[in-house]
Amino acid sequence: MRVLKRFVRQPSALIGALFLLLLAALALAAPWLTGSSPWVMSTQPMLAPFHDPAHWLGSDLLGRDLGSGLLYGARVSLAVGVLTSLATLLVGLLVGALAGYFGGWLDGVLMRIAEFFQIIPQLVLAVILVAVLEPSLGTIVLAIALVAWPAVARLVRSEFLTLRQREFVQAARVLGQSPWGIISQQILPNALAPLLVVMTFVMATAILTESALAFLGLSDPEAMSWGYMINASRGLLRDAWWMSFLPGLAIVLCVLAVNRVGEGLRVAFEPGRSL
Amino acid sequence: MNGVLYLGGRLLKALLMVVAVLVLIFLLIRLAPGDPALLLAGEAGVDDVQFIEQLRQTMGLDKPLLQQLLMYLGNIAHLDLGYSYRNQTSVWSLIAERLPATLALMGSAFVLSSVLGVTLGVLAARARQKRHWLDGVISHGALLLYAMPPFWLAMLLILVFSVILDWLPAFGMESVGKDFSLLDRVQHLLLPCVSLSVMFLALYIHLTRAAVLEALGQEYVRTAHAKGLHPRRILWVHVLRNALLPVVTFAGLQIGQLASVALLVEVVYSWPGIGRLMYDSLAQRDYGVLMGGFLVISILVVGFNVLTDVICRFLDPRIGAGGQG
Repeated sequence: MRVLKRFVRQPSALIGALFLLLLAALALAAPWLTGSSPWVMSTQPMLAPFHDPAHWLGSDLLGRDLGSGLLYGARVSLAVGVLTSLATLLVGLLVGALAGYFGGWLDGVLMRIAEFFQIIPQLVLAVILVAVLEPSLGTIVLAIALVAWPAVARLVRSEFLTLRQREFVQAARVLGQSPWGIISQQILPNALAPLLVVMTFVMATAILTESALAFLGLSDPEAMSWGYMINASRGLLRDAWWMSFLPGLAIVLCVLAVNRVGEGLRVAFEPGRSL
Repeated sequence: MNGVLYLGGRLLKALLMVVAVLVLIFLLIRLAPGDPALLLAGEAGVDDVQFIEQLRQTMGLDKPLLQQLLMYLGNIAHLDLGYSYRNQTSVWSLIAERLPATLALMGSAFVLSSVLGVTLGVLAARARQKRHWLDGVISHGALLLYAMPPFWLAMLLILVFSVILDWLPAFGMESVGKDFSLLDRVQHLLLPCVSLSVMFLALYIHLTRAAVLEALGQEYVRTAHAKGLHPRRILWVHVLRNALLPVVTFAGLQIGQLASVALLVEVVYSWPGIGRLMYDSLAQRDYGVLMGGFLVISILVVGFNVLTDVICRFLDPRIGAGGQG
């Protein structure tokens, strides 16, 4: 409760959270808010924004409604962001808990693997993965999660290393609680705060990476996404800059909001350390 | 002696990383749906039965997996990254031709983002201490820059500086049909370099600011003040040297990201580097070139990582003491 109060008291974090909620609502309601599917040619091509009340954000080269594209694109960005964070959480928890709790050679091997995925060019690997596996929402999430999990795993590991030494964990061990019981009931609840913060970071990275993949032509052919919209209108920068400007602006606002929420959570969890 | 041992160990680790990249590429090609030889041949080469048969031989597809891996590693050791049927030349020669352009882009962006980022980071930290508004401007600006998709920012820069103002070229590395001139090259490099730098500039500002603020609270700073040293000297010499350590470590970790973003920037500006080559291969489904590009970029990144580790050791003698690194 006190954490929530501290979170709400930061204007930028609150605005970020409200923006994301609004965006999620708009994305969910997209079929009812827009007259047309984002793929359908619904009006004249290359309509500038604010000229036609029925298509007030304009249309693209094929006469597809840009506003509709932006709403449906929000679905992809948010879905990829949330699904990737959950996938990295799962892998990161498993790897980090094993490495941090048991230590020894297992820790050494797992952390070398994590380091490997952190050092190599991650987007390039994601590009190759998605290209080889054929682009779909599933393969995109898989590829981003594969390069994003080390951040979570390292955090979980360091939390485990410090918490393992704490008295309440030692006490649980002396009382004969099983390793799994200690991990799930003693350590995890205490590691929750930094985990939440790093998850927002993963989500922001995932949204940016998805847009980059789509920009390179690697997007789910079924799902309209912001990166795809920028890619599709890239050649028209001179004649119709708004076609690539608007989806990009949507990405910036979305990522900014996620980052602000993350920062707000960090400050709310540790009020003493605000840099 | 300690230093030699350290360097040896560090190089061995780098070598293991490169081998891990190779194993990853090997597995990717084998595990992908469909025939690995057809995948590697790329769209253009698939119809040539003789070429496919030869490729199967080189890959040893009829042999056990482990032997295939060893054959693959052997080929790489001879700098044989395969043959691009589409381009009718070896993958290595395609990449080698484009390596300088990528190095120029990444190198210039690295220097720009790190020098400017550290400077702005220190300024922001000092401004925060004095409760000056400059801190707010710099740190909020960095936040905004960090949230921008680099390829989109690159397009905006083209829109402003090439289309509207017509100051700088938006395409390629040199003007077509003109003799070599340094000015022409620099003009072509400017926009791609800035586009690539922005995201890392934001990161360096954020990191330096935090590190300097932390270092300013340490006791040696108070001692230096008590000794009567000039505050500017304390900030830029004593504090910065200590604050640089996390920044350099971070630079090593982040160089893979720099290579990733370079791919996007090269695509937007048609910069004739490895990234652009990989993008073209992606469209042509020339997976051999794609994998080769990934390998060469990874080797660059791992090499740079060794370099930053060595610099860190040089910056902080504590790390080296007793050979623990």
